[in-house]
Amino acid sequence: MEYEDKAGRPSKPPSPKQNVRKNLDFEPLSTTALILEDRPANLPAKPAEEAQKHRQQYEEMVVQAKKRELKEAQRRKKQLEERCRVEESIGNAVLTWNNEILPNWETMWCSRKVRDLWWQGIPPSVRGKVWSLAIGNELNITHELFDICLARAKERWRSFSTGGSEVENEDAGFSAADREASLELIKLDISRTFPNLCIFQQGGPYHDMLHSILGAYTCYRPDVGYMLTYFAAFEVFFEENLPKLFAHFKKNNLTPDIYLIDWIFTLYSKSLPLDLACRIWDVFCRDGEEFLFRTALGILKLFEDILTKMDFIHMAQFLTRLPEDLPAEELFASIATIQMQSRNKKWAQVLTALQKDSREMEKGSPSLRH
Amino acid sequence: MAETYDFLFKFLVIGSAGTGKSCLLHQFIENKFKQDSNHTIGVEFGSRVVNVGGKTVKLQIWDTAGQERFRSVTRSYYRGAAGALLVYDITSRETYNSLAAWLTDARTLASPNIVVILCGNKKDLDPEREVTFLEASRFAQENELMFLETSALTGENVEEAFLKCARTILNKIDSGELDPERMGSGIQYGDASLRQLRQESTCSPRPASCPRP
Repeated sequence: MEYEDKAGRPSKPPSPKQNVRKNLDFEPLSTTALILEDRPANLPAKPAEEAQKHRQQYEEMVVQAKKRELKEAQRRKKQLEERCRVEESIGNAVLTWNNEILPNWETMWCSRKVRDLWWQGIPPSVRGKVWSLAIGNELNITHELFDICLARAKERWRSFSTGGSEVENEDAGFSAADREASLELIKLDISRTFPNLCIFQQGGPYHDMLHSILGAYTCYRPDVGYMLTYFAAFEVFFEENLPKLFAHFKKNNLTPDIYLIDWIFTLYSKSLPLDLACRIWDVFCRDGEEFLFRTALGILKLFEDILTKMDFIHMAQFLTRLPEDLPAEELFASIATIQMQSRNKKWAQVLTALQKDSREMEKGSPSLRH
Repeated sequence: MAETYDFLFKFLVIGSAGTGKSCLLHQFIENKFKQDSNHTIGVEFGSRVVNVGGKTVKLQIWDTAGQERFRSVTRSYYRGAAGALLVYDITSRETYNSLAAWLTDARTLASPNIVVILCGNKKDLDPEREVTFLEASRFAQENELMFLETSALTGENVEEAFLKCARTILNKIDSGELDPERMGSGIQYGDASLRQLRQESTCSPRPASCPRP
């Protein structure tokens, strides 16, 4: 036994190599530091009985420690296997995306197989390609158009920084929305975009790019639509899918504008961890805006039991600050159970019907226009 | 979750983007400065029970987005607010210039009786100041607002701002100027005061004035 050797009876020392092997195989890591020593020579030796007892206790300790460490090692091994499995499946998915799907995008993208693979999450290395294919370029934005918009944005920034904020008022032709495009506010926007990732901040690798895109976009801002109609459509599907929770929200005056804006406007990038948000974006690229609302219902369903026990302020706080460790698989399983169909009407149909209603109601009062 | 309090007040924090509204709320709730503050999109919430003039008051605080593009949605949050912190940044004249618009929103959308305290935030950045104390206090006086300069960074006057606003509302309830039972007053009775009212009504029954929160 090891401890006997240490105690000072050097019986033929094993070669260093053998020793190392032996340690690796049999000796649990932490217990190599656990050595039973005899009393120092300047003290009277232990009685045999006591020494025996201590040896026994020591051995029990070592056995327990070994057991624990074996368990821990097994857990680690399992974890490693799981990771290898995940990595392998990602690797396989990358191959499938690159070799089969991307070259045949037009014919394959709406097939069952691709849709299923898509739902699992797109591997980060092909994500960019898939997103840009899925998003397409319906607006026919060319590089030239982008450059024109960007030039106009830069012009505007210049006039703001030289003309000064003193003269800017409605007469000068600057509306509130124009002010929004001002350099200052875009700077503020950027400094608050994923602040802990540090890639978009001043000096970060994507700072200039984001700055240009935001500037160009504010000069090319298409109609953002009627947000309030979206909420109304959302409530239709909310009631359909989660009637109990819907009633609870109604009773507590918890309206969708309280939690939905934060989720939808940022496409969940603010409310969910980035990797989970990316998976939402994957399917958003596949299914369109409807999926953002389906996700919202999936989140509500996932937390239905907790939410029904809360009062207004606790619900409001919970929903505007979702748990950080929200489990991806459970969320997607929950989203999968949400039916985006109400009395045989699909999301787009419900939305169009509501939009028509609200346009008729609001004739002459454009204030609700976003 | 069982909290007892005499009253619940709905509070708003309003003002232009980047004036430090969320940081003020964070400082008030957590006693800390929020380092990498994100945008508020829509609204965020905080609540704290405070002791004011012998009464316990639960403040339910709606911290709204300051950006213009959310203005149309944030307006829906004003309904039934009892108090508001109207925030500008002392180092940005632009945020000061838009105060009148914010105030109009608060008085028309929440209630004409809403109790508003003006907060000149970022007091710690005095060298970069663009709005003097005197100028802002004149604005406050003209518009019947209370006024404090605050620092969400150091915490200076943060607690005071919330408490001062709550105290004024309580005084107005006592003087009868505010009626908690009016719809959309932004004031609710808490458990504690309900109990008290029930006791009072058993002593001298007044069946007509049974308050419902």
